[in-house]
Amino acid sequence: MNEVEQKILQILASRPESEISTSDLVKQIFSQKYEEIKKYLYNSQKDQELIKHGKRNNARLHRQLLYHLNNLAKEDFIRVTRSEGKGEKYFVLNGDKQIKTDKEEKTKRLLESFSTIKTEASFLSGLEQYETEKIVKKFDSQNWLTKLNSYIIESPAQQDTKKIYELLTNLYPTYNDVIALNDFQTIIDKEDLELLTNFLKKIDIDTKDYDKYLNLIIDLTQVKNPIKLTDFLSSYANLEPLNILIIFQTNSKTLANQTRLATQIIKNFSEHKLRINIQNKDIHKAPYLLGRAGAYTFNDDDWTQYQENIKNKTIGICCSNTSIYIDVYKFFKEKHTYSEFRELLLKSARASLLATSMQRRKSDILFKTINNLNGHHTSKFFLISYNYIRLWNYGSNFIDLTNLQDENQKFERFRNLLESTMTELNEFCKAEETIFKSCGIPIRYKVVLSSAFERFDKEFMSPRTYKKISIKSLDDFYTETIINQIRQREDLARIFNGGDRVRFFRDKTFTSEEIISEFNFLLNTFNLQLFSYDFESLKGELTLNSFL
Amino acid sequence: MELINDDVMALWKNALTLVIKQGEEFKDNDGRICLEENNLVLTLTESTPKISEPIERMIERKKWIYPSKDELSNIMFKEYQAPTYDYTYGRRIFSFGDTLDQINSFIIPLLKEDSSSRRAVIVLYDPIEDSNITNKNSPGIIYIQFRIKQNKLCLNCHIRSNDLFFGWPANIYQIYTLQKFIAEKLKIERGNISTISNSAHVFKDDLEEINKIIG
Repeated sequence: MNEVEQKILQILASRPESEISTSDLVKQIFSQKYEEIKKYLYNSQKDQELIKHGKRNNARLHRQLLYHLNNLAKEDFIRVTRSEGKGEKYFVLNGDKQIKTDKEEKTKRLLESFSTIKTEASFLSGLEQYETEKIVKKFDSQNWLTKLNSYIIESPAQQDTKKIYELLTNLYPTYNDVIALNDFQTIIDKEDLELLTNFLKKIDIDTKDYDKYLNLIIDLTQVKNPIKLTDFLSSYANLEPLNILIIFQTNSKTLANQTRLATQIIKNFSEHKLRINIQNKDIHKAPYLLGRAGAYTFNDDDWTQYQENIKNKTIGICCSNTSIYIDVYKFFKEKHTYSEFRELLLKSARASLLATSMQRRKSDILFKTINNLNGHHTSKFFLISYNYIRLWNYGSNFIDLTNLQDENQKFERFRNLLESTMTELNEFCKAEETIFKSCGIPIRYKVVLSSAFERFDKEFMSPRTYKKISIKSLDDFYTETIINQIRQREDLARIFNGGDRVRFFRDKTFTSEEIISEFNFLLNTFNLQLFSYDFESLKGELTLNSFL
Repeated sequence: MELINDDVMALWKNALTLVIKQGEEFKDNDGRICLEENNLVLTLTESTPKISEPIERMIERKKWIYPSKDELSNIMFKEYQAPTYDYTYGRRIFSFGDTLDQINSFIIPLLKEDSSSRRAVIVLYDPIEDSNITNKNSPGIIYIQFRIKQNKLCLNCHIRSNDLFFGWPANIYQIYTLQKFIAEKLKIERGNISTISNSAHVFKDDLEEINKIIG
């Protein structure tokens, strides 16, 4: 679905009781362009030429929006309630239709996936001031009380892609960021390539329509048929799906034995400028998920608990209930202090606790589909879930009130701040678990720290201030700058208990052997749980020779 | 050891002081160090206790989110259990094993029939569900016994593991609401409430806050 059309649906879903005019929608959807137009329409000189120019541009925006509104009306997503004046139309969501066809069924689900539960009362989270200052944002704030943030589905428990597709179709309205299909290599091993490709094509469309992410977790240490996997990955790369991400679980030993497979992955993914996400299983056993908000994972102890006591009783396991992001750069730019920062993290934790307990109380309505799938084990599905506090622009360039000049000292100071805050957060979580448990409601409540992805909300977040890690060759990994950058991330990973991803931007041309050597080096030398190779900065066409 | 008082705040403070002074150090399975007193009996003799005062003190602290009185009472009386919870007290009391309403089907008729009965016991621990080595979530309150003495409804509550700082204020209020409900049904007055905590403990991490309460 087109991005503008998605935004229209989200706005209408947020106010399901009221009709919204084309003008109001223009102001909300093209807010930046409209602000520009206003400068012409209401210019201080009242210059008629400028006003005319503004009106022309405004009309252009209206026409552009009407095109999308008409598309949605044709598809029965929305309907016109009335027209007024010079063609000003009013729209509402088409929520009253009787569901008859598959298409309408999909329409309903799509709308549900954007809608909040109306009966859910809002609450004061204590973050309001920071939200106004655009320092804090809840991920999918309209639905954060009513949808899970991320979870894992076990692929081996599903018969085939047809079953998985049916399952996913029912689950889109239950989450707001990402679902991961764990051990997806088991499905690739047993299913026909054509069916796999069709499955990819269908979920590519659906994930775009629903504006949600899906991960395929492929454990390379468990692959039985590497040729089939290569073919599948080639289909995936050709499709270039926007919201389907693959995470490869491996280790250096496996990589050394799968050079042919690795070569093909590098060739296919780099040609299509797709990121290669590699999880080092020697460092971290629990799977990783990559969504819009950021990376997700489980603590290895929690994951072991899941594998020993829960796996096969449920469809999978919930990873997170909520994500809140904090723009560290903006926070310190506004002259906030370290103690205020600590306070903000605790306030964020309190807000997510309230959200989680609200979700749990209404779980019979909100997660009916999941509960039905899990049967009487459904409480176990939520047993090890987390609440994420994600930091953005937290690098060594953050504004430091102590005016430290040395980057390492700055980093050290910030790391210490995070570490001590994390201790406080853990104490808070333990206390809350004890309180609830003592009162007769045993709930899991754990806040974890991680980083935020830029795609969390590009418009909201401050421009990236930290340095990208660009690699031209293996030699770069021996330079002091790169080693320092990676060591800092390793250091932070100890505090980022919700996981972290380190992204490398790969420059220039290369051979697959070179990339494999770099992967090997990273797997063997550093304690990075997950790293991504990004080929976006590649220039020019790559020829097959580059990989041979 | 038994502490008896007619003032709930004084009883709570005395219990906290006792455990801090005399408690043995003990490391729980999360690695946290607690001070523990075994088999501590706390008896509240007050006839109209300011029973919610400890909860109000906890809510006042604002450092934590402590459930309100309404929430605590709901937990005790709500038979419905949201599917994401392993158990709730309300479900165990009013719909044990999805079938038995222990209060309305047993306690009230029994005590109406035989006011001297010592069989008026409700059980919150369900061995079928809870006696599982890997299960870390089993109820703290194991059983509650009701007895009529001198025409007053007395209550004894056995708590296997009791965080005196965070848990006891909620527990004493919750069992009080249950006692009040049954006493009204039986049209008699309320009598003493005793909690028998097998492991009455506080965590060393919380000592600073506990001392603020003790004063």
